[in-house]
Amino acid sequence: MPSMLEGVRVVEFASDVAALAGKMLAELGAEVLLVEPPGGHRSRRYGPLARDLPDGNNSLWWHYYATSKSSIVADVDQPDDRAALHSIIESADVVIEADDPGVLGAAGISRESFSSVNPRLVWLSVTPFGSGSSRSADPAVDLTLLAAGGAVWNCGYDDHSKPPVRGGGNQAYHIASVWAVKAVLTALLARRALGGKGQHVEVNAAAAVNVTTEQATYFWHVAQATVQRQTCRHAHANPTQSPLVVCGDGGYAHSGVLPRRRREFVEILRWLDELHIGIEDFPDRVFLEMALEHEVVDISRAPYDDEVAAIMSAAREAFVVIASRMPDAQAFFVRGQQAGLTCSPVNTVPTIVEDPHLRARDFFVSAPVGESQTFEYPGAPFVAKSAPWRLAHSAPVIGDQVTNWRGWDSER
Amino acid sequence: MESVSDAAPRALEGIRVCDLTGQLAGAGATRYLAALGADVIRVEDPVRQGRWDILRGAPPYRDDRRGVDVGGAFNNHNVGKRGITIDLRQAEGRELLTELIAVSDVLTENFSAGVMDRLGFTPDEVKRINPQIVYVSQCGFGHSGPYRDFKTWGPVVQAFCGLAALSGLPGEPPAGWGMSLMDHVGADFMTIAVLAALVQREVTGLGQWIDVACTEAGVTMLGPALLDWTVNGHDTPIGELHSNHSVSPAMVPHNVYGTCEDDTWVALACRDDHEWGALSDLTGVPDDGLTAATLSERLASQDVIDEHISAWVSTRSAHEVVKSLRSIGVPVALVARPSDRIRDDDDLREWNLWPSVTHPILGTVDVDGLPVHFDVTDWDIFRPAPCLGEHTDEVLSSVLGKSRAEIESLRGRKVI
Repeated sequence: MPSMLEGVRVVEFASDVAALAGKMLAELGAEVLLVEPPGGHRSRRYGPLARDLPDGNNSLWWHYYATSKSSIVADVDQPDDRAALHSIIESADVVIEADDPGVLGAAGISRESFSSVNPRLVWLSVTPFGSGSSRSADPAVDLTLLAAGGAVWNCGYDDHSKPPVRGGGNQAYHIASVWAVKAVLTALLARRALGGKGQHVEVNAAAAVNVTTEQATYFWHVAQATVQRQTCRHAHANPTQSPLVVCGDGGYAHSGVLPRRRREFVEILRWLDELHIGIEDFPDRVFLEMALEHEVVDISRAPYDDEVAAIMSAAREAFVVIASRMPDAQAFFVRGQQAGLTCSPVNTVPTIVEDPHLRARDFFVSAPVGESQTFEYPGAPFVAKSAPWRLAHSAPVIGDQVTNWRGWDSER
Repeated sequence: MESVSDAAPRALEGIRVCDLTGQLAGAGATRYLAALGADVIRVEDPVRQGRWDILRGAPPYRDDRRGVDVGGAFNNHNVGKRGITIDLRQAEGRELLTELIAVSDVLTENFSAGVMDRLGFTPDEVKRINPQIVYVSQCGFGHSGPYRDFKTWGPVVQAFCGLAALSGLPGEPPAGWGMSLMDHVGADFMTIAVLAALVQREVTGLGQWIDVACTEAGVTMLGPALLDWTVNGHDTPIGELHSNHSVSPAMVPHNVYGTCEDDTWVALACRDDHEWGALSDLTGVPDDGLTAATLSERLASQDVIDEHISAWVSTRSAHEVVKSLRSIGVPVALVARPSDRIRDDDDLREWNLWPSVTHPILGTVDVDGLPVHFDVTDWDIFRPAPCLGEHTDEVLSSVLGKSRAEIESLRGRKVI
């Protein structure tokens, strides 16, 4: 079955920030050739390590981001390697550069050098702050990009003596990579309007984080309001109630969107009844019953309508009481969602991997690694049945032979 | 209103999008397509005044005025689109939508799973209407599986997919993200699905239906932490996690530190021994036998190093810390407030990250730009979000070829 990006050839100079972009393009069907410096890219040594084994092929970072890619080692400072790279790029559709802005250009490898031999080429640069920025030469890591981009300001706890929090998983790199993929695909499509010509595209990682901060940004745009961080919920200009609840086994759940409609209040009251939580156990129940007098409770009135404020507060408190009587977060989630209440367990990696819905959708995929191992990975970010996403193979190890790239002699 | 750009070709020129999306997770996807030159026609419900999208008419507000056309979030997420109203409860409304699908390249929607099927627009039916169309559906859990009918919202997706639990400090509950990260990223994946399918259509000439589940997209963002569990059986539980530290890749120091100013913080990290050498020279390594020249030594002494850096930062202003660390080449950033990055950052202004649109009711207001520049077919944001039904007549006339009399008749029967 054909893949979406079949026939698209991508040369990716290895980096931390755009590693996910290359993986996404590869798994949508593009041929992605990773170019590493002598000794392999530094990320081959990033932890965690498979089974804590230190040798060069056990980085789970590498195993995550380099799936479905081929890899070559080339030294851009060596004339022979430079010539080989030129030959490869002459037949490529896309080049991705993200590490150390300027290094490739200094070695004579730039989009300009291919404008006549490969005018169709799309050249993508991912930079931390923009190539024209006063910070263009500053080093950056995921943490500092999330901080500069506003994500860290949004995140943390009600108690502001605790520092703001950088969410984990290197999401600044992921956000930049997702934008990189959008940009590459757009430039490929734009070749039609440009008579087949490619162009240079630049993604600014800090700017990408900036426009991924939702209401923190548009509350400023519209009302010059500054949001403040709160525990596990939207940073907001005015304090809101916590949606976080603790279930019978101590696990966390998210009680989701506040109920507004009569049928939602009916369901919460039914749930309280089911758990034998009467007015004596939960005196605020009376406010939930008051909500039944409205078809829809206008929650925007809460700041100046005492009744609405009391109803909203009682709804959150009801979830706290209900959760404490449910065996665990999964039971809370399923019972709540079946009643039309938008809630969730706060899943951790172990619980997400076992989730019955993801298993029923065959979300996770496996691939052999070396001769004796099989790793399990996340699968498709979306399902396209007529052109499926696929994890072609596990990450390349140093020394894997690349034979199918025009211009690259694997026996070199 | 005319574009401020010249006549350079647009990247997505000639792509028409029949857009039934809303909120941020859907509207954010088609916003990008509009900025790159696609003709995005947003279809809304005249009966409920488009309020299926809870952001239509919702805060923030510019002033005391209220109503479906003055919501600041809606304006931000829908710049560049045209807006029409069609009542899809009526057979004639569904026929109008069928006509629009027939002349569109892309159909997008993010209703709950099953809504489009109930309206009669199943993937097979849409393919019958227009075999070339790229049809992308997005919802929380996708269109199959036991949770198919369950509903989500950004923070709920983040809780479900594991991202919320990746954020927190020791001894504390999960911190989450403080924003709907997965509404943005869900929209990004929806855009990627549209664009990749359009690339494939250039080869095959055929469209397809794509099922985007925001929760699954979120799981693909977990990174190596997921393999650490599936391969090693290792996971750091909530309450033990310190997400201001970094284990992948390992760096010490790597944290957020408080300055001498109220609720003002800086983030800094040392990627290698060289950067630590420069930072320890600058800050003065404590004279108590701390050995921290190598990463493994620093990992063993992380708490002591954090205390040392914390004490050094706490007596200085953020400006001083950032300036000092930049001068020695160590990664550092102010934990930027909205005003720091929107009002005061000249680089981002220079990038045009905050363009203005002039809305007929709101007036001139800044919106999000794009963190990307194309050197030939760059983006352009100049048109505000559509007022409810603002372009109904224009689209029905110019795209569907309806006469003035036909449009008035449809309006009279409340189809539009």
